[in-house]
Amino acid sequence: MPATESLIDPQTLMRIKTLEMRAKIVVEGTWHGLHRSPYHGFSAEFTEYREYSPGDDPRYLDWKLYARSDRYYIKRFEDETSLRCQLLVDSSKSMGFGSSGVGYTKSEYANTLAATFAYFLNTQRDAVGLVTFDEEIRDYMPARYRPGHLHRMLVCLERPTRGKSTDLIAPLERIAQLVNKRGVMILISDLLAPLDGLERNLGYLRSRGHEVFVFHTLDPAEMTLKFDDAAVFEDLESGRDLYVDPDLIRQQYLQDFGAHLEVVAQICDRLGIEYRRFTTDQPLELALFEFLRSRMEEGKKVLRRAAR
Amino acid sequence: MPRGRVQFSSLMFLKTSPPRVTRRSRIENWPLLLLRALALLLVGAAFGRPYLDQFIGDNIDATRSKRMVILIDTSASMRRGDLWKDAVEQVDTIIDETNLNDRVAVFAFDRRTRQLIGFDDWVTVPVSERANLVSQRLESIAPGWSSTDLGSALVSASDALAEDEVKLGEGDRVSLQRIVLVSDMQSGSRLEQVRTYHWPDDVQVMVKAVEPKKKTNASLRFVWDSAEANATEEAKELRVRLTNDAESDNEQFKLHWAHQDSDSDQAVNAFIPKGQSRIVRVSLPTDSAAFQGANVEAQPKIEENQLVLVGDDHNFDNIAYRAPSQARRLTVAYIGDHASDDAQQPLYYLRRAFPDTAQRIVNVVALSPNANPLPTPPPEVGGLPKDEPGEDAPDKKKSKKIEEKKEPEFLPNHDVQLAVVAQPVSSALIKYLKQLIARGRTVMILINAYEMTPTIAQLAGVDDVIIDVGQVNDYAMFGEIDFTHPVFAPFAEPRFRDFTKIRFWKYRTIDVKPFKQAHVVTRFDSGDPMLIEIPFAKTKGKLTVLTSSWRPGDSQLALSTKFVPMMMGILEQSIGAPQRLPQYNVGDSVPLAGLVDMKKTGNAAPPDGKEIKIRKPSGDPVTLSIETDDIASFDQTNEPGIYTVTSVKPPYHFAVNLNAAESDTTAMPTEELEQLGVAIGKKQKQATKDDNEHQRRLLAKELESRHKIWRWLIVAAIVILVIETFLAGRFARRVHEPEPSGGAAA
Repeated sequence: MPATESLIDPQTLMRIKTLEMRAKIVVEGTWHGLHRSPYHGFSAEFTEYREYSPGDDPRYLDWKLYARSDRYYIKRFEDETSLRCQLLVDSSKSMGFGSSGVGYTKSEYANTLAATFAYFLNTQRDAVGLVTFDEEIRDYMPARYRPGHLHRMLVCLERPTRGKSTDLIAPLERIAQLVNKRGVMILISDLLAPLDGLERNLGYLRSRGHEVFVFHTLDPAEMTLKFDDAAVFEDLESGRDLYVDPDLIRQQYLQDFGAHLEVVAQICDRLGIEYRRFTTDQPLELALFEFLRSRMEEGKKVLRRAAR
Repeated sequence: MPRGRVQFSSLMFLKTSPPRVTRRSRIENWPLLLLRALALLLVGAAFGRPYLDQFIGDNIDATRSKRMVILIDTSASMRRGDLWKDAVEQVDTIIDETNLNDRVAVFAFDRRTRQLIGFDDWVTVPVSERANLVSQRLESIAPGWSSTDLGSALVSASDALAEDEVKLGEGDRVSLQRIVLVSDMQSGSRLEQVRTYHWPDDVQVMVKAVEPKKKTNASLRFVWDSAEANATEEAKELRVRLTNDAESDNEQFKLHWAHQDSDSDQAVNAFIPKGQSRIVRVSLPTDSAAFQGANVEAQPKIEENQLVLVGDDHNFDNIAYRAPSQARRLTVAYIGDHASDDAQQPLYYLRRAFPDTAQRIVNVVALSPNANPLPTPPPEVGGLPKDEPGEDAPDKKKSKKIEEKKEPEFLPNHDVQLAVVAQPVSSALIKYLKQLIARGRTVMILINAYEMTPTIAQLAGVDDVIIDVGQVNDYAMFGEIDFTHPVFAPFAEPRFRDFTKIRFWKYRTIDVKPFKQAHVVTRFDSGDPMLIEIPFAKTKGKLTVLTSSWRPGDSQLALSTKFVPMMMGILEQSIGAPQRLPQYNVGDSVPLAGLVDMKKTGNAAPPDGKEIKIRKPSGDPVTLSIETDDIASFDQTNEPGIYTVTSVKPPYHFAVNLNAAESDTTAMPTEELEQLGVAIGKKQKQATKDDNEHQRRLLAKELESRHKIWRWLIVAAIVILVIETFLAGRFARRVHEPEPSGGAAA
């Protein structure tokens, strides 16, 4: 793990109330370290002229060419952006958990992360879309690059967690249907759900040509079960109560949880999905770094996938 | 033990763990637990009063008392079946349940409330004798025939309770105030009094309803209307309203006259649905002479005037009585030398102004203005019985009606109710008229000439009477009418008050000023007085002056529809007696004023005229003395039947029937009382039980409040809690101290 001294302390960051500001700070901090133009390789480029035929949008007429040649030509560009990124953010109740040591919830962390990506991609003039989901899809904003679109996404992200349970299956299936154009999918979730259909549905996304990133967001307490006293543990999603003495069951828990994480990692690996695990006390820039790094390496990557 | 709740993202990977119980906690908590339990017990005991219950036992009755009024219904409906017996038993039970220190009063009620035993009687009688006293008093009474005024009974009982409370004042230690109502709770009970009464909060009414085993009850009542009353003598049929009770089982009934058999041809079958009433026509018994009304002097056969209803379970209301109609004979004297068939003179119209009705037959007697009706010695009473009170004129007088003009000397023996003076009269007549006024009669003067001046002056006792001719331009009309005056009050309604069609051709003016207290009842449209009433302060007599007359030469008044009612009004005002009804209810007061007029006709009073004898249906004679009793009315109508006033001739009969409401025997729900704000107690048995419990508790509370034990209990609890706190502190310290060294205690 890289040294975190030069990075922004997430606890300090989270004290900033505006999501947009938080995202801005993270992105700008990342840039300082990048020293590279974000525009490079992403700019829109002119491709061809095509003769105007009735029905074409007159907005795209090249008037200068008309002045020169007395012919109507439509100026065609390449797709406006080179990257269409869909952020998939889990907003289920389990994301509302935040241990006392951290001071903020996974949801806040995940939203800031999503906002960071959105802001970053927006500054690169890439189209960004947002899907929030719990057991079903709550908000769907298609990937766009438009004035105000970013703001709307951030407003969406600032809504509190609502759903009861996390269901990764149905939303992923739905998203696979909704998003036609190839692009990047960034799934930010705690993945605290049965993993039965996860592989299949992530596979759908992959098979439609999307590049998928999974940012597995976890609270440090979930990783360690560091609770001192026995207490009644209440499930945030189902409201179920369970009397738990952490000392007694810690070992078992770590074992089970570790197995769960392992399964997730394996699934992602099999599908050629970039899987990153973040605890909420880790700086956000790291996630952005990871993202950019894997984007850079994309060309070199070979999909290793088990034959089915 | 878990200290609290922890929210966690998912319990997917968590498993429940059995709670750990450490030995240490068990050991160290025991003494504290005991102390705390003890403290709780003490606090509980302190607040859990009363706990001295068992020490009080049953002698509670000796220490507390209740104040109770027992109301027992003695109305006619209690005559049904065994109701009265049941009611008396109920009262006995209540009396048996009373305690030593109770204050009890027993009231009986029907339309009036009577005290049988007062609170003071109760207290003064030895305890052992109380039950006897009550049964003695109850034996002395029985259900009468009256209607039920439950409202006033409840109010009287409540007032009696309040009165007793005030009387006892400080020494009063009564915890319960109660009215026990023993009644059949019939719907016909009157409750108006309660409606306007603010029911006290601490007085509860216990209803002990008695119910008859059989519930079919129907009643009957004669229906009278004016047309029928007029036509009684000719009528062959009478209308009877039959009412069947809502709780009845039977709907088929039979009507027959008492002297006939229920199977006779004249018996009438009637079908009356439950809870409804029907009018049935019953023909008069053809073989009876009892119904020829006024012509009958003989005692009517009671049976022939009783209509009997057959077919229900309770016969207390199965007989309706009717009295043979007896018209009252009245005499109107016309003073004027006119022929009775002269249509130009007032007499002609006056004769026709008083049509005969079932209740009165009016004779108009014409008298010469020069006649001397008052011979110095009292006239020989030609054939008239001495004890005859003036107005119920015997038939002989009627036969003389034709020639009365020639025999004015009989006039004093007629009790003339109204005199109409159409011509100036002689001084002898003036004297006579003054006597009439002194007896409370009205003398009406028609001013159709200047010559009337002295007559008016003498009668009114005024010197300067000025009469002038009224200025009539074409014709004069009614201008102002005082509709508050009794004579004109019937016209007050807008549809009757059109007097514009009555035109006056001639009238005279008279200066009203000399007459003191003169009241101008009507005026002409010119403002001149038309009808002037001059009352005489000492007597009720009046002098009424009409400044015109109704002869065709003066006005169209006699042709108007207003004429007859107006003259009737003046006549009725002169009689001053209320109209007699064809039937009365039990308890009504029957006016005798017009019937027996001995006070006023002192000289004509018969030797035994100092008293009035009335025979009740049961045969008991009642004697009312003029000196001591109020003879204006007869109040002792306490049983249904036909009453006879025997001291007049012919005897005057009047029928008294059961109050119709009394026949409405459907049980009234107690909620009806509650709606009126009366606090109704629970079912008696339950209530007594609860009350005992309640009293016992009250007593225990009082004992405790004297001892104040609870305070000591609280103090003890506080002390224990202090010790507990101290010990707990020590324990805590002891537990915490060894902990750093490794929690050896565990």
